[in-house]
Amino acid sequence: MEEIISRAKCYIKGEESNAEKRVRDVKKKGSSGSERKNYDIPPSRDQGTFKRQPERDRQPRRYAPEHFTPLMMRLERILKEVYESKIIPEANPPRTHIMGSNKDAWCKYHRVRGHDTNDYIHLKREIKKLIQSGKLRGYPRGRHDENRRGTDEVRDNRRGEENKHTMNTISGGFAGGGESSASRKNYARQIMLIDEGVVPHDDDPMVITLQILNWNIKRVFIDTDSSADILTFEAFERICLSEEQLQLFQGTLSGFT
Amino acid sequence: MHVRGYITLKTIFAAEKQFKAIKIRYLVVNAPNSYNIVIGRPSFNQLGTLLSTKFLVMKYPLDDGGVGTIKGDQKVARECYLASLKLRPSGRIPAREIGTN
Repeated sequence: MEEIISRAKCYIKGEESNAEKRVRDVKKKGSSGSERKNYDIPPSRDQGTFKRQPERDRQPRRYAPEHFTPLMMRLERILKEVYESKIIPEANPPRTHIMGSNKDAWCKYHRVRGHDTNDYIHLKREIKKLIQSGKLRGYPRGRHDENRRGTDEVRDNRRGEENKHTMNTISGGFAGGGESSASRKNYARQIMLIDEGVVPHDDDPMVITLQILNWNIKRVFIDTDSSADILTFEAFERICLSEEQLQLFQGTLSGFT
Repeated sequence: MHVRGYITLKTIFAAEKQFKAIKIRYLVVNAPNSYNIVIGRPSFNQLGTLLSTKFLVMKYPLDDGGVGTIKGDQKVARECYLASLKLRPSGRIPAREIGTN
């Protein structure tokens, strides 16, 4: 324990002197003009192992924590999915065996020991970039209420679902709890207490779960009066299909409200 | 109603190890919907399904001669139903507009 503390103190001292030096350098630079642009930047430990950030971005980030949008799942898992979908190429193989101080942690991005995948800031930046460029969707947390609760697993189960909008069949009437909104709400809540099996109901619609391309898709409505099989575009996008795969439909569709 | 196009996807109806895969030609529409998919008559008939709306059970013949059973999810059904009602708070039509003749 003492050893750790003393090492930490050493490190702090080092940082302080570095900072001082930097301030001095900046002053010097200010007075004598900029002869060498990168003079005041100390060499970085992970230099050369992977793509460097632009130099002017580097300095402030060491002191001011960068803001990242909270994500729906752990970085590790996102990384796995990103690799599987081949949006970005895998990182270059490491030149060193250990990067960082934690010897037990394993980084899946670098494939080295020394730090944990989930704490890794470069990976966070990469993912942030991907999300901002629109290549990665569905991961930022907090856009829909239903994503806010539950663990990773629960969220994964909910991936196939879409958020609630309007329904395109006739709804209302006497079914589903009655005419007043209070009684309907009450009716919808009753079911939450029951785990499985069918309880006596007021004409509930038939809603099942289907599997398409390894996705479990919930909220599949069996409508025997509909003359077409409908897939919403939201769900279509969500199961990672691109618009080019769609074939042209020249007919019309009517009856949606 | 704007139809983006259609796509044929292999869809698996599965429950407890009994499963049947059929190819369904989905029309992809832009309409916001509380359901992800609406299975209409074409695939309903293709599957050869019997549906009991009272017991919320679907039965269909399997390829090996057995009978597959899918139970409806009442919880999700009620959630969706309620959601669809909620989003149209002004959906109640004034009495004079309904007309009796």
